[in-house]
Amino acid sequence: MLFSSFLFTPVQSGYGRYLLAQYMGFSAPSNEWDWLAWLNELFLPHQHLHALDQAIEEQKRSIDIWVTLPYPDPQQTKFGRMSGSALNFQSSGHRLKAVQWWIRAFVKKWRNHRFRHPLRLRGFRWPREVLVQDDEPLVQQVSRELKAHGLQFMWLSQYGANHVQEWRRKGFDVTLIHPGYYGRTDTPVTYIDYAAAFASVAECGLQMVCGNGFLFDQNHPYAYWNRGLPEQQGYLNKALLLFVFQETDLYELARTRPTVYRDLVQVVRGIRERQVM
Amino acid sequence: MKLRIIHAPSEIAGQMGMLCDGLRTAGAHAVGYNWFQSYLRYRSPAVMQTDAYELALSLDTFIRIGDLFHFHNGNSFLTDNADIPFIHAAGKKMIMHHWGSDVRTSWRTKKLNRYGLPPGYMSDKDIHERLVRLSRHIQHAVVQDAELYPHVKDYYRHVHIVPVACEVRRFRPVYPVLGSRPLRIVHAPTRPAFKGSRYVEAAITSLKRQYPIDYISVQKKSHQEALRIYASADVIIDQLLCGSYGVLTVEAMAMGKPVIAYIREDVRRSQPAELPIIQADPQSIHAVLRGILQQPDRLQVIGRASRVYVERRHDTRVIIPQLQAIYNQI
Repeated sequence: MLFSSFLFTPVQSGYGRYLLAQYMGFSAPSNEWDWLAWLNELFLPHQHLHALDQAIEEQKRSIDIWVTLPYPDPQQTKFGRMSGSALNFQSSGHRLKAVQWWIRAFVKKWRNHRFRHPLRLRGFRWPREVLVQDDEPLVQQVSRELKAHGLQFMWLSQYGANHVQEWRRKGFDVTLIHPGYYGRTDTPVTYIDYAAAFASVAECGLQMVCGNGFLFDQNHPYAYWNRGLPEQQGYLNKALLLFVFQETDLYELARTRPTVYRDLVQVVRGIRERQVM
Repeated sequence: MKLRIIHAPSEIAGQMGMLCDGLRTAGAHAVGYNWFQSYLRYRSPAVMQTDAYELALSLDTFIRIGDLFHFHNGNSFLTDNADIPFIHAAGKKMIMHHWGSDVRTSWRTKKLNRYGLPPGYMSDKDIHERLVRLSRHIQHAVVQDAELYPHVKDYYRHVHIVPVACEVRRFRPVYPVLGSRPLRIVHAPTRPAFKGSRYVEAAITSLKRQYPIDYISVQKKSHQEALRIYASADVIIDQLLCGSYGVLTVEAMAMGKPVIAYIREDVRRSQPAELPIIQADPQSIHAVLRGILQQPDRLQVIGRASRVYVERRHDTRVIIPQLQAIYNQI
């Protein structure tokens, strides 16, 4: 197993409604059925958590699990009924109620599940990269809920984003910064260095981006990996790293860009070997 | 199949929300993304509050899912409009909606307007370069009136005039009720130098010596708070320099309020003859206000005419079909 932790993130439910916050306007707002579908899907045999469990070769290897929460879209006025009352996300209290219900349902399901390997539930990720004003109190409340379960709260944010420097005060336990470098935009490659320096000072982790699409040039993964070498910024050995696959995945990468895939494997193995030493 | 219309990236005076809401009501599939968070706190169910980073991250998906991109204020998803060639290469439709300071060059304003306006946030050179860059791949632009039209007409192949949108039925008209209390005059100097606020303040200060006036200057209020104050006004003063009128005027008129503004002669000629805005400029504002204070009776009539005017010209039910007709041309 190359990686030591996995983050599971939903995009769209089987009902066609988006669960990923930034695309929600393209469908009707997600409701309790979509949230339940995401919950159940995570535990389906041979999928997601169980697929990961089956893919682990080493017998006693422990893997950390993070799960992205469904986003309580404030536009949802008819989420569903809970404890007899209809939830309307125009109310911040109802938004919290729904998220709490989902977290508790997940934790209960998790405790009732058996995996072959020691999968360890570390926590949940806030579903948006931007922390908008309307969400701030909710984030604090969700943070408290997770602490009560002994779990952590993750935020994937961007270098330069609003509030990123005060991520702990906002209620997060782990934050990983996206440097914003893609290769085909006007953001220079040096942003990776700036983001790494910021991450080091602000005690954040760093996102290692490997993507496919209009924004990305062919060499951007190498920019992320090379600049993290000990003789440069050194973050490959020092920082908490999240390998992000944007508009692609490991399988597609291995199939369509085998050289990049092979080099990625070497980079990650190198990190692990150095950690063992 | 319905077009998926994406409005982005900045909400200007609530117009993005108004247009997206109106398109949705008309059965279209529209969604807005706003990266510009301000104290005005415009909120629409069709507009998602976001930032430039989240938008960049989502660009590929937007290009895949969206059919028509309606951009605002000269901006697109990426800084320097680096995404425009990608969207063009993907064969997706685009239109740029300009709102004012994003295209109003100083040199052309000097030529067209006898009152100098303070420089905006972009230099003339930057405005020109951006318009050249945008119009390389975008053929259709929208402006609100004949005041802005000359600033963009030499760049885009098609420039459409679509008046400011207003959901008039949301505003309950409260016509001026004249009685024993002092006349309440409201002015909202969001950009005092641009609106000619010093001429307003000077006229009010001078007239207060002779007449009882209840003057309110609305500053740093959310849009909702500002609307509550406008609702209590007898007269609203918009601006005295620009030569045009914007969202404040339209919303005030929807509330049945008489509005004072400077409308340039050529801009007024391009509007329906019944435009009920009370004309005033830096030289005449004192006399115009004195006239109103001496004969306030006509404010009721102007207030009622104002409401009728916005119903006919600015209501989203009038604007959305115009917008959809433009979308069909792209």
